[in-house]
This record gives sequence, C-alpha cells and structure tokens, in this order.
Amino acid sequence: MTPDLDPILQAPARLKLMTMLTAVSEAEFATLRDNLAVSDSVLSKHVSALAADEYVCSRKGMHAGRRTTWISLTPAGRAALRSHVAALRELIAGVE
Amino acid sequence: MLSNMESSERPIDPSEAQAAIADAESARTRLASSLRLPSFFFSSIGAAIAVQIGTGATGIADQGTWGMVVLAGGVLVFVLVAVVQLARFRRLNGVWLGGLASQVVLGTAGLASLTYAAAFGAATWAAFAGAEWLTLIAAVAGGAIYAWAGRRWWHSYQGAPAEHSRGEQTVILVAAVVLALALLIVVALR
Repeated sequence: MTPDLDPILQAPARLKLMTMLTAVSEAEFATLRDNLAVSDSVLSKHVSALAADEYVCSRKGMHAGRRTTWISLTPAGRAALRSHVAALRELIAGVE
Repeated sequence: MLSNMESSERPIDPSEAQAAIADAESARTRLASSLRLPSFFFSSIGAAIAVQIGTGATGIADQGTWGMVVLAGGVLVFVLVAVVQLARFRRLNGVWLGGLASQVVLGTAGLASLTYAAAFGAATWAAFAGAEWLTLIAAVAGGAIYAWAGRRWWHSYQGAPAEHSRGEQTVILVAAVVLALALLIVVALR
C-alpha cells in the first residue's frame, strides 16, 4: 500500500522550510531565504502556497530597523509535517 | 515560475524519500547550529536573577515601603536584562525561540525553577534572621545555578532543536508571572 504523502509537502524546498521552522518559534524571511539558498521570489511563493493551506502563518514586523515578514508553523502545519514524514519513513521501511 | 520539484505529485521512490528527510533534517540542524547567543547572555541572566533574589528577599524581610521599592527594583532589573537580551538574540539571528525565552530566561525548566524557589526561600529566611551574608550567598548561588541550567538547555537544544524549540504557551507564562507577583506582594504586605 502507498503511504499517504502530502502533495503540498512533496516539494523538497517546502519540506526543508517546514522542517527548519520546527527548530524555532518564528523566523524572519531573510533568515529562511539564506538558509534555504533560494531567491526572495521562490521563498515568497512557497510561503504563500503553505499559508494558503494554513500550514504556516506570516506576519509583518520589524527586524534591525526595517520592515520584514516573520513566518511560523501553525498547529495544522506541524501535524501535516509529522504525518508526511511518517509516510516517507513508511515508504523507506517498505524496501528495507 | 516555480521549479518542477516544487509542485511534484509524481510517485516518490524510497531513495528520494530518504534523501528528502536527510536533507530537511540537515537544514534544520544547520539553522540551529548557526544561532548565536548575544555576549554575556547566561552571565547577565544569572546576575539579574541573583539581584532579583537578593533584593526580593531583603525587600520582603524589610516589610516597609522601602522594602517594596527594593523588591520592585530587583524585578525591574531582571525584566530589563531579559528584554534586552532576548531582543539582541532576535536581532542577531532573525529568529524567535520560545524555548529560550521560557526555559532559560523565565526559568520554567525544572532545574531552574527548583533552584530559584530554593534560593529565594533560603535568601528570604536569611534576611528575616538578619544574616545578610547568607542572603547574598543564596542569591549568588541561585543566579549561578540558574545560568548553568540555561547553558545546559542550550546544549540540549542544539542537539535536538525540534524537541526544545517551543516555549510554554503565552497564557501559562502570563499566569505564572501574575501569580508570582501576587505572591510577592502578599508576602511583602504581611
């Protein structure tokens, strides 16, 4: 049987972004962009897609005196990530 | 346009699954390892706690207006140090870490809260007994162990960031602070 993978999290960049967010309560847009090594527009599209499904939430704020966006995982996003990773592990276990 | 791997819904094979998990976990570890603490972080929090314990105990034992001023002064010193250090951490790293704020700064970790309660109790008893030197020792020891407990939490966090990143819920922290302040005021007014 095929494990139940979450199509929204199948993109490696989204899985990385969501996993990174589990290490903090909230991260600034530029911090995530630098750690993911992607452009502003790519990260922005990922964040918008994840926010549309309420996996992350973003809010405007200030950082070092300039306006920026802070991003955090939502409880729904945390649960979706947990279930997606469990499905991936199940897939790996299936061939071992 | 997003790259094709971003919206991929094709079946994923086990080796890709393994690589995706490894890559994501390594990104998380890299982020956690890259976080830096502001200078004198633990020592300033420990010193502020020592001041708060010492002034709190002295203020309660004084049982007068001056005692309340001393007690409030100690709380203010701690709040100022905590706010400044957490703001510096956030500015330095571009992240907010609830676990650091609650477990290290507000001392909700088991060892920190037990140490604080024991040191505060000992310091207050010593202040009532007129043994200022003992109040000082209890305050300094309390602050030192509090700072050490924070350092220990930081090492645990860097080893397993996902398990330690979250702090207690804001409502619980606010309730604990209000309860602690109410308790201090009641004891001081008796």
